[in-house]
Amino acid sequence: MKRRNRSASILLGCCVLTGCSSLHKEVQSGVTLDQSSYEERSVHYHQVLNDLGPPARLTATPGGFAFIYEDLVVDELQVGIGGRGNFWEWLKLSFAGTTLERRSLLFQFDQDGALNSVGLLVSEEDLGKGGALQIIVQVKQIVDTSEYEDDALDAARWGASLLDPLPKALNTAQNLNTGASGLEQSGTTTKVGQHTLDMQ
Amino acid sequence: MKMMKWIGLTLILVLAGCTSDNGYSGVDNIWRSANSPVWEVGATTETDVIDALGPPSQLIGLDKETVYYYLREERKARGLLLLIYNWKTQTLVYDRAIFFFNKKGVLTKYSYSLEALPYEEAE
Repeated sequence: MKRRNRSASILLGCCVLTGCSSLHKEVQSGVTLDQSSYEERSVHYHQVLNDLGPPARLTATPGGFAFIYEDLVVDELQVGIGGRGNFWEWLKLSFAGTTLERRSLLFQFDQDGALNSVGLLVSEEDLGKGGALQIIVQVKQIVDTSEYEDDALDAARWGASLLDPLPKALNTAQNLNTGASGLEQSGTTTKVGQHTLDMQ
Repeated sequence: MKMMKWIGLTLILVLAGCTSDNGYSGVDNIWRSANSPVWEVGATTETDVIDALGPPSQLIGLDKETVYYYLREERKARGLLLLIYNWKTQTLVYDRAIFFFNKKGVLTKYSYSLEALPYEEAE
């Protein structure tokens, strides 16, 4: 009897839990961002580079320039329910919740390289929840987190900007990825600042 | 004998669901090679850096300086696909080098990222 119960439990577990997934993504900056005790006006950007290395992004600003360092960890937990029967057993209905652990460190320097201001953000963010119907053998991220990943090829795609939709192409000069018009934290909504010019 | 069969069956079931995915993008991180030049602040020029490392990933104009930014990205993913549980992890590592030049094109400061990717010579 006990054996039958155990078999039934395992069978039930296989039916119900089919497709549970844990997805983990790290975007490493190589710095711990613990070194945020810099004092304004007494630190030069050479010292910041010596301590932390090159920033994730930098930009010219009116009267100076700015660095941003980022360290991101994305976790997604999926719970899937599989169907039974000829067709349905190859599909799973998945529900996912995704969280982001973010550490961002921003430096702003004057044109001589002296530190004007520094700010550290440490946060845990809920990136959202979602659901999807997937093939049972597929493990795919449901919540899109691609905007949190730097792309080494971005810089090589400048020519393709000429083929962008007109509102975006006309505002290429305000693009936040060129290093000439400011910078933003990864994952910033397109409904604010320069991106609104792109009418996205 | 029976034990061997069970071990074999278990290995087949577990290893059938293993995945691995590695990839690189960006410029070659020649600055990590053994033959990388020694940069001298006040002496090295933009031409020296381009001759040695090639065109940068990004060239940024500041008010008083020009920045050459080199970036190489490594994607490393591992996964385990089982009957009732799947696990996948991906790590993105960036190897960066940055050079600052004054208006005369002479090096004023350079820096490498704290984390480094091994240099692999192109064939």
